Amino acid sequence: MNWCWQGKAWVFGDDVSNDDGIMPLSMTRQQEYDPAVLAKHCFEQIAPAFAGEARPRDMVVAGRNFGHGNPHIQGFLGLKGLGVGLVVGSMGRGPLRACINAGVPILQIGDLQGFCKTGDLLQVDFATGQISNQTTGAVLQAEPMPAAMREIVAAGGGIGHMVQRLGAGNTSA
Amino acid sequence: MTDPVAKPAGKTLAQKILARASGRDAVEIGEVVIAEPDVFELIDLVMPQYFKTLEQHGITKLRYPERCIVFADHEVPSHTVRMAALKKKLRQQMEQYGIARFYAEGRHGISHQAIVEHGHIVPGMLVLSADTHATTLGCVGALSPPINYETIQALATGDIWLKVPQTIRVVLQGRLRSHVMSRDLAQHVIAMLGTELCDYRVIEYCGPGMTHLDMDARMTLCNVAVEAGAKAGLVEPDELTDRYLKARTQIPYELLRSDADADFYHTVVIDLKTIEPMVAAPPRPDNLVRISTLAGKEVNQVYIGSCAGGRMEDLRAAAEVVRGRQVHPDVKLLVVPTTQETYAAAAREGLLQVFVEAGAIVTAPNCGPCYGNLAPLTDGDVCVSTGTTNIPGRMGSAQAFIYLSNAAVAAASAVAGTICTPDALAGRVA
Repeated sequence: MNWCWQGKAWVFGDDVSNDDGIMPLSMTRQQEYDPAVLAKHCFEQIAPAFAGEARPRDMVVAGRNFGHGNPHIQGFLGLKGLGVGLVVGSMGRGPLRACINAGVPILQIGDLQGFCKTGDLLQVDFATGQISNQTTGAVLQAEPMPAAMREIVAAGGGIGHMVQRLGAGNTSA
Repeated sequence: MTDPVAKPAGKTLAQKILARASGRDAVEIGEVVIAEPDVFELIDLVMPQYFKTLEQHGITKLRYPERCIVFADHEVPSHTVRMAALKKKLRQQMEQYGIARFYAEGRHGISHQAIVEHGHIVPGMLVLSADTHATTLGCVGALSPPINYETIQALATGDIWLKVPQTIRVVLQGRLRSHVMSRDLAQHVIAMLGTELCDYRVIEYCGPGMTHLDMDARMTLCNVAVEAGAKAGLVEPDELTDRYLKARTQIPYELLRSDADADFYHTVVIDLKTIEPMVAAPPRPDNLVRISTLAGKEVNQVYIGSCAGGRMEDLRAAAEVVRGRQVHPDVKLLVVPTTQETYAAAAREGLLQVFVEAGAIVTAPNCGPCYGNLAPLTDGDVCVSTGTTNIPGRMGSAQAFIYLSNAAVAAASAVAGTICTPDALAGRVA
């Protein structure tokens, strides 16, 4: 898997919640799990244009405590459906697990204040942690994604990783 | 003479549990282990989809079906034909995957409390759960980090990767004043510690003050911990734990605890008599404000229930407030006991009668209102709730406002029609 992505930045602030921030909670109530369906509802309540305009390998850039609250999977499956990556200030344990499990690559960088604005072209290398803003020339260095997490994301997420691990061993009664 | 360098450092309870569950003598804080849970706590809302996903990927067997326990809790009874059909299918799916233990509608309760009441959880266990508020199980000294959607893989493989967490020790001293509830303490702790400190760490409660905090209170403390991002909540098992479990379980256990010289990340000491009732204002559970600052705030719905606030402690406190009074005509008061055991106990004590005669709606145990699929809030509604969280949209419309409080304040607000304390209500009536 090529870990160096190039795409447009979509900038959000601090404390974007998971439920009704990344994804309407109604999608969880309806028990919707299809990434293609969920993709259409990403950030519906806080950035209605996002889902229609974001392209694969674009980058959601957000501040601290991204995806806080109940770590329902629907928000991250929606981001997976769009094919976007994440660069955030920080993210808690619950949403981080959900993010990796959904197969969405992520870097956490601490302070991102003023690094980019929506529309800037970013190059993000999840394996090395290097983030460059090709519009302004600014560069940041984050901790790389740990190899174990990259392995899960490369498999398409936790379920793909499970299938790889189990191989054909568990598939017949 | 002993050499202080050679002395082995003590271990936290979380370390001890994860060492055993990963088949190791000892594990270090910060390392990632592959651990096998003793119990999978599962819920009927998500399992139909999880089984379907397993089937779609050709997984026809679970690694440990005998460790799985399923609870009906999120929509009981079903509201729609679609949900009823999913639940009917669930029974077939469970049979196909070899799961025998199912607390079906009528024998159910919100999983995190019911699983403890039924004696399935003992100190030292590792439990993996499909639902977020599983941290509640720490009330008896079991480590129960929620894993949500990852449950699918864990069911198939029988294991999961977990980082051995740091532990924040909360030492309680003294005793809560009357009319101060475990919910007030739990909210105080998450607001005081904050999400940055709690993230990925275990909040472990201990100290002489625990003597006066019963299992209801302990469930609340561990439940609310997850709202600050904690990986788990734990209560140090003690004589009270032992008495509670002896009446409920045949599973052998020991009162496993952290060593005094374990490597605790942070320790705080709280004098319980300093805690006072507060309200968490929108939009986050740690946004605590004094009740007096909300005086006069009009309310049109009050909810007493959920895995955070529908236990006997809550129902007794609420009934004491509404007894002989009437719910305000502009307010809808919903009372939802957390489990069938609680429901029956509240009936025996006459609490349900008190609520109904006051003009409240009392319904069977379920997660509904705290999940927004029963009595949903509409735009502009103001709700006082003992539910788990006040994040916008949680109880219906994202344009509604949820204030979290203890059950006595919630009940007083239902009677007054504005946010207020039981004392203020008494003053007004007198």
